[in-house]
Amino acid sequence: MRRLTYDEIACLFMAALILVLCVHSYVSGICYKYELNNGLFCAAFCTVPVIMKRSGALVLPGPFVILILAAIAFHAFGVLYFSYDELYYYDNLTHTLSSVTVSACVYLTLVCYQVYNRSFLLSPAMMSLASAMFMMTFSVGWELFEYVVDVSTGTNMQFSPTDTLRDMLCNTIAASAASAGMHYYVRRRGAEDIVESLRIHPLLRRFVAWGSDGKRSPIRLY
Amino acid sequence: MDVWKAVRAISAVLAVILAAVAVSRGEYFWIAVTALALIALSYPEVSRSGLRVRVGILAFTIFPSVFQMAAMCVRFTAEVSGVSVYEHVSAFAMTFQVFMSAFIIVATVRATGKARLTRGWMAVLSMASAVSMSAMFMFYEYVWLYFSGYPLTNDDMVDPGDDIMVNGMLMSFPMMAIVCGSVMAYVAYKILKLRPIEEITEAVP
Repeated sequence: MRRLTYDEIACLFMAALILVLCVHSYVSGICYKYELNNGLFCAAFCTVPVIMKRSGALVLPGPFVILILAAIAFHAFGVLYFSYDELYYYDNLTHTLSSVTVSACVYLTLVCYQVYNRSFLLSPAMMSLASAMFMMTFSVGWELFEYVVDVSTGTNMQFSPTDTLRDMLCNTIAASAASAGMHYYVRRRGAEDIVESLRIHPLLRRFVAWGSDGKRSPIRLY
Repeated sequence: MDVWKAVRAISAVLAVILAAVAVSRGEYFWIAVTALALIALSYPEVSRSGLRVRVGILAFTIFPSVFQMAAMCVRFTAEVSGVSVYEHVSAFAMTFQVFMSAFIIVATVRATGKARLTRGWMAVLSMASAVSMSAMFMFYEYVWLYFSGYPLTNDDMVDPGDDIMVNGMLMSFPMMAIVCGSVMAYVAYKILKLRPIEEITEAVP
């Protein structure tokens, strides 16, 4: 069995830490069953990069793993210790972190798609714009989901317009910053090099290349 | 006179008239939608690409302006979740206009070779543009709600259902952009599949 790498150790450590926080928070009576389940889900999600790597599906770059773990950790802590309710800007912090993470993932997905699927090619500037637009779509979609759930079930997921707009503002700023950052990262390292380092499983590659001939695009992307 | 230029002129004039009427009614976001429409209509000159979308596609840009002006003439009394039906109708017109504007730009960019896109991707990017514009609308609408005296914070909510009503006004364009935008993207994709992709655009004579 291969030795654990630093990012795998970080993932497992974070999962264990969140598990400990779950137990502490529940036993101390700080949180209830809903928050406990949420925390357990966060702990399980921390192991996803490790599972993907060990199964040969995908190898995420180190900075991505750190970003994912940070987003999960802040959310788990907020849920288990009610920081969302007690700290005014905690929701904004987690929204920004999550948006940066998802934005980076969206950008990377588009780059992989571009490398493996000849029917799709965008200039670097258009790639950043497209990535930001898709992130905005996800943000709006989530707010719409919360609104529809509130109307149909009488819950209070969405709160006031001020809360909604603060979330949207954080998402917009984060998506724009992440798109710009990813553009610089991909330009610096090279799209082909990054995609190569992901070691995407051949089945996944075939899925991405569906509709194309599956061969690499000969055109230099960046 | 060139039919393409005539259709473009009609579309541009109608869009400007609509914007003027909308501003007189206090619906200022139509300025942004109209500006995008005018950019799309003048894109062959702006981009100096020597290419333009076919007149059949261009003609679709007339409908949103006509539809919205017709809606402005109707006195809507019905409401959906506390939001006037007019808001939803107006949101649909905005979605349609932005979708078509984005589609024209994306199709022209594809034809010039600056991007390689399938019909599906063109439809998806047009829809994403409409949804992104709806996100901008949320910021505008928030400011409008503030100056109109609507409850905006958790402390302002007095009656039960206040938050649903105000959030409904905020979400009218996004809801239309996602729901109707998806339908528009699907319909556009199906229509585009009927002809070769090269026939979406033509050379400027």
